[in-house]
Amino acid sequence: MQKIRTYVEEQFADLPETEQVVTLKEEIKDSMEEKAADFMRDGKMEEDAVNKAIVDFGNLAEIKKEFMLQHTSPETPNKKKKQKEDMSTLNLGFSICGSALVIALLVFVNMYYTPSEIWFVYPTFGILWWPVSMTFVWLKARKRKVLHR
Amino acid sequence: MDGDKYGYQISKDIAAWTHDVFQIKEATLYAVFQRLERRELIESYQGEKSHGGKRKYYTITILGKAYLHEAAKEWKEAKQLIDVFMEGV
Repeated sequence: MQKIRTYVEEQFADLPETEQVVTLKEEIKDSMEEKAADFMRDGKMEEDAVNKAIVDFGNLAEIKKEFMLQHTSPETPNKKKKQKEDMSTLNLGFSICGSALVIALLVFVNMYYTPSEIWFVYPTFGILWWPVSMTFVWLKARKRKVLHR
Repeated sequence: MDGDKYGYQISKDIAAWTHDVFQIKEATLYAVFQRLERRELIESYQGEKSHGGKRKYYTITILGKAYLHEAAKEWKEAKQLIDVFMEGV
């Protein structure tokens, strides 16, 4: 039965010894040991029974993959996503404030020096591309967030 | 199918119900438990001590029951549809 313990420990050696990992390993070990005990009851020698229990149990990588999805990924990719989303909102806000300031400056220069001729609208159209493009980036990020929920 | 069970028992029960036709690998089963637990469709708790160790028992949640109901309905519809297709074979 020691072989089962060693085998499971080896298979999970690359995971940190957290409480959840220990519980999971215990569960797997118990299950394998019970399986081996069942084989022995059917008349198998201990070594045979242990080997068959390990092989029949299946690939532990499958459990590990699901386990890591559950206990590691909810933090890392989520954080990344949030960061991206925060950036898009910030970018939009900055582009709106920035373009408003530049347009205000144009209006002021226009009204102060050449009040007879309204020319500030032309560069304004150009400047507006900035917040417009940032709005679309923001909308796309929001859509992605809804899809991922 | 009633009552809370531990992993190995569930795999044995599945084999018994299907008369050994479907023998699920425990590794697959535990991976499924992880996934169901993540989606909060099942819950686990440590049971009484037996055979020298504490066993982890699994129980279905209310959400899990609702999901099972929906999935069963979908599966029945799919089965009916396949039966219709298979009539000509």
